[in-house]
Amino acid sequence: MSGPKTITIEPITRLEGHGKISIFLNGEGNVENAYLQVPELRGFERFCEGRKAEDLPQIMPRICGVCPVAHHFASTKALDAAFHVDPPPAAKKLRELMYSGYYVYDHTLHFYFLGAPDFVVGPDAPPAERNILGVIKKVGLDIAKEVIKHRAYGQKITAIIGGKATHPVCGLPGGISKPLTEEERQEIEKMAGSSVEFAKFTLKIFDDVVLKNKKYVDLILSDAYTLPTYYMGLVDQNNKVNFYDGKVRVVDPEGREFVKFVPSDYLNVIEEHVEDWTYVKLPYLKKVGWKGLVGGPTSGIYRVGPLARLNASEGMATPLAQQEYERMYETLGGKPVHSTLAFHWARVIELLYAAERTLELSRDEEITSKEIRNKPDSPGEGVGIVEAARGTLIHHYLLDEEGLTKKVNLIVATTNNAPAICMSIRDAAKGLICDGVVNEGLLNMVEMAFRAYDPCFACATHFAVGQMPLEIKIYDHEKRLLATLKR
Amino acid sequence: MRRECKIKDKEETEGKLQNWLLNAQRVVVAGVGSSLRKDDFIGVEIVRGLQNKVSSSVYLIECETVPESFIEPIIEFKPTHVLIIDAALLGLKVGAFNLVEPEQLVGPIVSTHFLPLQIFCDYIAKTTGAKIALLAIQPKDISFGEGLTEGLIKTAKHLTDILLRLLP
Repeated sequence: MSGPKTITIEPITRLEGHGKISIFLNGEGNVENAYLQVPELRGFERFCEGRKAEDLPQIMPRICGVCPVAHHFASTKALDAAFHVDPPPAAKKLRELMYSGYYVYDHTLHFYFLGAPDFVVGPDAPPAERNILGVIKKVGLDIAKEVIKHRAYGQKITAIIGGKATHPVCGLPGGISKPLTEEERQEIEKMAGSSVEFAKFTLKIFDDVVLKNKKYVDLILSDAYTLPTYYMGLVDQNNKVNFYDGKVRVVDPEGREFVKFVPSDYLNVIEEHVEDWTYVKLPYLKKVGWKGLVGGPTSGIYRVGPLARLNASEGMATPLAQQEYERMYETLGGKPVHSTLAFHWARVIELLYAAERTLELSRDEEITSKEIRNKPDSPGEGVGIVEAARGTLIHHYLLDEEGLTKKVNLIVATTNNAPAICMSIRDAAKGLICDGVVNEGLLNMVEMAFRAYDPCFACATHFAVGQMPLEIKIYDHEKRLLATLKR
Repeated sequence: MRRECKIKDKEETEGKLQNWLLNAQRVVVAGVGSSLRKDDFIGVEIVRGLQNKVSSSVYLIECETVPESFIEPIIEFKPTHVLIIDAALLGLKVGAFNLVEPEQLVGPIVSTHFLPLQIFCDYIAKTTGAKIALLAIQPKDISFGEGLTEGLIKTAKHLTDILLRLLP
């Protein structure tokens, strides 16, 4: 065997954002280590300083065009807290209604466009076919139309309540900008009913294509994709999954409650570690500590997102989703499930919950109330937490006495998962690449290790500290490197 | 940046408003401003003063700081005219006001909602074909706090009375 070798997957595909995976093989052709590097750098935490607080719910959604609703309401909730105002019940329900609609389109996007190609078309199918077009070819145009229709429904619900389909604007400290008319309510109810049926159908596809295929079930349960960690998610007062509000619950790798905290306490629970080879911060549980990129009960690394939410909860708050929740755990051997690829299954269960919750809220007798705003009080400090589709999202603002932003701290979903994503990629590479045998299909299966998390690297690299490192390479017209300038 | 123009008096602006609303059949009146920034809220206060006093040909909207939240309802109303009322740093004495066409928003007038408002106006104009104008009012104080300053309370009342005479 020849000397050490580096394999690079760049760009990585079927995710939001940009990244690169470097796999280092030793002399025997086995994986020594693998790293995920995210080269994006945004600066939101810094350039929001000095801005009017009430502008933040409109600025923050620009972090991402895939999960803007999550940032919008994390920001709005942070302002509720900072201005010491509790919105009226109708405002909270309207926010949650819109939030559930967002989950319908976001989870549909990931399952059909990003995750499903690996299972429907096959993980080692030619790359030109391993995408949404390959999925359509396999499942048919009628199903594709339903996918597009229900994504549009989710975005329509956001537009009706939030003002716009992408980058909504309705959130105000203490409430929401406009009430729902009866006509709008009926329109949303109809779309929600259809979305419940669509979600049930999506679970059937998952069942037929993945769960009835022994090769895929073995892959899901394989060591290459298994990672025991802590799990975090928002829960309601009954410890059931809630995307919009509640307390944050963390369970250990055995499924026992480790901590449950209110948003304002997050800094007592979470700390962030920095590595010089990536711009993404690496959060961990403070009380357990940072032990490096290792899993298990003595490592403070935790996971967020669909599987983590289901692991951290004691069930789903709607009946059909609850049935599917029970079926998943029964099939995979009980709680908690550590199989990374099970994030896909948990995601479609959440799609069903989101659709049921949208329908439930659209029928709530308070949903068309005109009591949608309470007056904010004097400005201070506030933390808002929601569950973005990708995981727990934290916005923390410190305001001055003029209501201008002094300090911003964001811990976004994919940032929470960053350590686990690095480990999942490394472990998948080690499990799949042996004796120097590398091919495109295997590299795609390494990518599947991050794809299950539905990462959003635009979100994960929202911050900027100090001076941005910069490297400029100058090439001539024949692509010869002339000079490299670094800062 | 400050606007250097000669706004002669309130009667001139009232005249401009009267001309602008000539033949208006369906009018959206949208008040824009933050309730947390004192005189910034004047647009919304004027709209509140019009509530229950206008005909069904007028659609009143309290936009606060999120006019884009109301794009769909405005389009559905099929307006012939859209009047946006907002505080703006005109460089004039407190309480002065002027009627500004959206094209004039490029340049010296600094609205407290400058850039988003311009894009909002542009979008509404293209989708509805309506005439768009901004009724810009010079604030005294837009620092953090609640309630209009005394001069602006008088301006709000004055403009409410003008609009009640001129709206269809």
